[in-house]
Amino acid sequence: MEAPTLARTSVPKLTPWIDLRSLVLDAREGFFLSRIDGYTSLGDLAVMTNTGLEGAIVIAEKLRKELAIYFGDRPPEKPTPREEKPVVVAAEAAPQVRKKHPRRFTDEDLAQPSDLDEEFRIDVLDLHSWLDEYDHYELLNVPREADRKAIKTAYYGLAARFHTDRYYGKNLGPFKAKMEQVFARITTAHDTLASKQRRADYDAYLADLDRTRAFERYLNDEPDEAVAEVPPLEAPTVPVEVETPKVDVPVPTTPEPPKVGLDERARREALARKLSGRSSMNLRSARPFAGPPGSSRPSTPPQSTAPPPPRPLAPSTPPTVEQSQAAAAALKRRYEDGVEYARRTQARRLIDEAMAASDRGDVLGAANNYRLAVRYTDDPAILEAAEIASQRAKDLMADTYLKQAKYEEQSHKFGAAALSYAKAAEGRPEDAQLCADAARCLKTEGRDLHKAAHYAQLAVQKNPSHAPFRVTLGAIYLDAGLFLRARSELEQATKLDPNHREAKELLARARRLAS
Amino acid sequence: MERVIGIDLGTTNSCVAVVENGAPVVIPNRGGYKTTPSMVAITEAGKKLVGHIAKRQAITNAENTVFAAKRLIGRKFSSPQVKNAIATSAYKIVEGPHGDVRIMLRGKSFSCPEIGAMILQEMKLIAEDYLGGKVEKAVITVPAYFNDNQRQATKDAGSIAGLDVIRIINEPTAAALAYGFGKDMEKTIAVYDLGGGTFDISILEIGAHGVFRVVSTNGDTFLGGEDFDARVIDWLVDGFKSEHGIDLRQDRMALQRLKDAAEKAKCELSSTRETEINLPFIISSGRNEALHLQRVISRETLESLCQDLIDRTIDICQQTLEDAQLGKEDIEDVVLVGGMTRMPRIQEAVSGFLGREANRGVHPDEVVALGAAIQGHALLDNKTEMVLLDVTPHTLGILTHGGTFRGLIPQNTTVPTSRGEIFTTSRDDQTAVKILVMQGEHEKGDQNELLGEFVLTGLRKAPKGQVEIEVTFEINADGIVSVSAKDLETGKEQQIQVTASSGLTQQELKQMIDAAKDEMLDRRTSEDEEAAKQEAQRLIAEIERLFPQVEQIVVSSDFGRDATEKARGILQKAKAAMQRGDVQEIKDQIEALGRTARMFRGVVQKTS
Repeated sequence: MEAPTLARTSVPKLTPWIDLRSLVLDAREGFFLSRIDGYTSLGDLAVMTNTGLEGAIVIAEKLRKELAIYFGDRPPEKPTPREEKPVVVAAEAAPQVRKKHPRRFTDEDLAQPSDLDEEFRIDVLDLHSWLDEYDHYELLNVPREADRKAIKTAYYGLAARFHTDRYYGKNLGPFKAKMEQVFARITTAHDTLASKQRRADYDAYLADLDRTRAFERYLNDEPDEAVAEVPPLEAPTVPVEVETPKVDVPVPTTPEPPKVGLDERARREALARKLSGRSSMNLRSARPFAGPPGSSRPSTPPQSTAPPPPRPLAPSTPPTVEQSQAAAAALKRRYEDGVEYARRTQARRLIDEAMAASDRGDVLGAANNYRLAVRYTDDPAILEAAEIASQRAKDLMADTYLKQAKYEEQSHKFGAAALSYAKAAEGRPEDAQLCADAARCLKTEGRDLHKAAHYAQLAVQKNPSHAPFRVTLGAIYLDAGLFLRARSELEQATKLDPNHREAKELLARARRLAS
Repeated sequence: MERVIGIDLGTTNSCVAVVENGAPVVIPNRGGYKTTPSMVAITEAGKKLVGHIAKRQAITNAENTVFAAKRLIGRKFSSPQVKNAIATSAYKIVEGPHGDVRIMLRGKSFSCPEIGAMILQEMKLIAEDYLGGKVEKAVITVPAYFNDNQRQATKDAGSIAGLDVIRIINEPTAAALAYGFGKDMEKTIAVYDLGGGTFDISILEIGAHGVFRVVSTNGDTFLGGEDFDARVIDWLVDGFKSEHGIDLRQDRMALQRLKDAAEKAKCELSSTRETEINLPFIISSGRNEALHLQRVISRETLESLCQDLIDRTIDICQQTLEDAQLGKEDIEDVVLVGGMTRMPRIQEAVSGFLGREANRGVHPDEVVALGAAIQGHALLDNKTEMVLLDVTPHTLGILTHGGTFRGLIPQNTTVPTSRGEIFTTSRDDQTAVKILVMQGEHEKGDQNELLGEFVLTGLRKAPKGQVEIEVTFEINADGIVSVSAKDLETGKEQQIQVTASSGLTQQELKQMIDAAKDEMLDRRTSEDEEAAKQEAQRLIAEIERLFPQVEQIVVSSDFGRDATEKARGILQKAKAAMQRGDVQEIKDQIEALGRTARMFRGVVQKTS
């Protein structure tokens, strides 16, 4: 779907058929929605609702996604109930943990000959097509906090449904193999979750995965060179969820919660003063909608002591050219002032939230809020704080990725492990071992030796005098059939460490093959 | 719905059951017994005997009577267990053409599956008599700790007996099915199964939706009631030797009598404190003087003779709990299976170990067959909500370089399942790899059971360690193992179904199945013929008896004289047919004989 990019001048309209009560909105979004009248532009709405243009766009995006509002001439079509129909997954309507998902099989798959009824065939194909994406909880359709008994009951229900013995002597056609795969997968899920130790390991892995996914979003939203310029009028679209990072758990695995030392407090207060010219106490109390627009702000030009009215002036008599020009200039000033005010409020709110997140130990939340805040200010102190928060988040993520990688490697998911090692390496560029680990996993997986070599080279670049890295690289070259390169790499390795047994063996082979 | 029977093919006794009107019942044999001895004998006349009748003549025909053949089924001749059996058996055990075990009876060699088939055939006949119709499908049980070769051999025995073995299930699992079927309970139970020849312990979860999930299983296929008997025999033999200086083992008939007496004494000691073993004329001494064996054995003596065997079972229980990561307190009920569990000392040991009294609601000799019948019923009847989730009792893997065993599917993994791993070549320019599929728990390959082998060819010539081969094992719900090997580079794939070897080739098996079918036919027709002959004989005798009387009565009428003449002709024809042994003619004449006899009877009645 090609949705038009939202801008200051875009005018949102309410979707006529929408049931507003069915929407899940927070107070800010609800307030925003209540101001939409089909005439007011986003820019004006931003000023009216005090969200800033950026915030207004974010909210508008969400509302548009929810189909509550639309832009342009044609309201969105009401979705037909067919799409709403949930796919039957289990024999019993357990609380739905699995997310709704699109159908992934074709009618042809469904029509394959067998003695099974259609409902069951749909179940098998549906579950089978999502086996790789589901985590153990989703697969068993139990919440993550489910106790052992609930897990067992869920497993028994699924096992009784999908075990091929239930259809003994029936022609199962291609569904037989699929049923067996589904069964094997639910059994793995059960076996993992029914064991205390294995469940704990798996839960830790899932938590890591959630965190790294959140980080992924964070990275994707902000390109490296992102600059904190004056908010562009044509704002980049920002997905809603970045505002409230998914990591709602306070990261229990973090070695130490960030200390709020004296330094930090001093810096924060300075920062707060710069932003508002008030004491940090006042800043703290300045919650998102609390700040009244108006006279108290020192930067406000004297002409615009009143808050910007919802609608521009509507002069009753035809104005002169000068009058018009003056009015236009005043309007512009007032508008710019409004924008400026909204920007500051927004920045203040974000920095506030960043600090709160930092206090909670929510490293990622802090980084995220700082990152958003720098869009509204070019203050070097904020930039620095954002930089520190970002680095801290990256460190945490590197740790998390490393843990994830180890779990994946243990579970023989070498491709995934390689990716996680590589991510960890990005977060810790100084740690050459991570690159070597990624290379090793890629080599074991054997799909992409080119990439394996790339990571091995990175490891060697980072630490050229460490023999094992060169051995890994040499071995990959050997696998790839690049015997000359392998030979030279391994020769260097043996020079660095003459007692490295594997290096010597590989070198002998490389020499023989190269000649 | 098609009928399916459940057969517990035991080491010493076998039992057959069926589900009738939703409830499993044990089928009694012709003698009214619910179990049938797993014994087979060939008489001097070459007649095959099975069951009680074989057991009764065992003493006088010890060398041609097979007992406990289950201990040999699916084993290699060279295995220590077979060596052990050779030393203690009165019948002759020889090596078969494939290193398998054969039993010599009256100069003819029989494979173990054939012996098993004779017992299974008997069980099939018992069921057919009871149900009044043909039975073709069966679920047969085996000890949980049987490996795939032993299972396959049991399956082959079923085929030879003319049975379609729809599933082989584990004995303790079957017992759990009988225990929990239809009771809608959620429990974790232990099944302690000490039978005639094997010991098994299984831990199961019985859960919602009729799910029976085996958590872990363990056992010893050479530990059972027979070992307890052997201890008593040793005690008797040693005592006799020190008294008379004669080794009773040298005499096969004496050994068989000792065996019977030991087993009897052991059983009696479960209910009495002491019992007398009395074997008169057990052997003659050098001076042609008959010697008698007479001794009293107490329960305490038996217990002290066998304590280490009991301890061994408890050790295995401990291990199984650990494998299942369960504590004793997690076990909510204990089911005792097998005749040996009647021994008070064993009940004490089990309840002492688990800290709870064993369940007394199941019959230790019948529960396994009942469970097998339930499983068969549930498989064929889709409406029965019951699923058995069983595990692989042994680790499945391949032999790798240097003779080490690499497990791919660990023991106690729920089936169906599949696992894969990547292996590589061990020599330079190796273009083929041989995949040896093995089962067992030893690190060393040669200590494990070889299930099958195949060769993956056409690998790229490359230095060792470069060509990568992905080996995937798959076990389906039927317990059939398939292995595929894939050259990751070329994508070349080879796959086999590992049919575990029962020790018989496919051709041999087919011959045996055909031979058994023919024999069955023979047996059927001979029974049929015998009945016809007897019927004809009876009618002839009756007619001849009444003949003078009738002749006298009807002598005055022409019609009567005609009739008696006709009757004489029929008699002559029938007698001639009897003499020739012409079955068809006899059958043809039976109707005429019957008519004549009825007429004669009528004439006699009328006049008297």
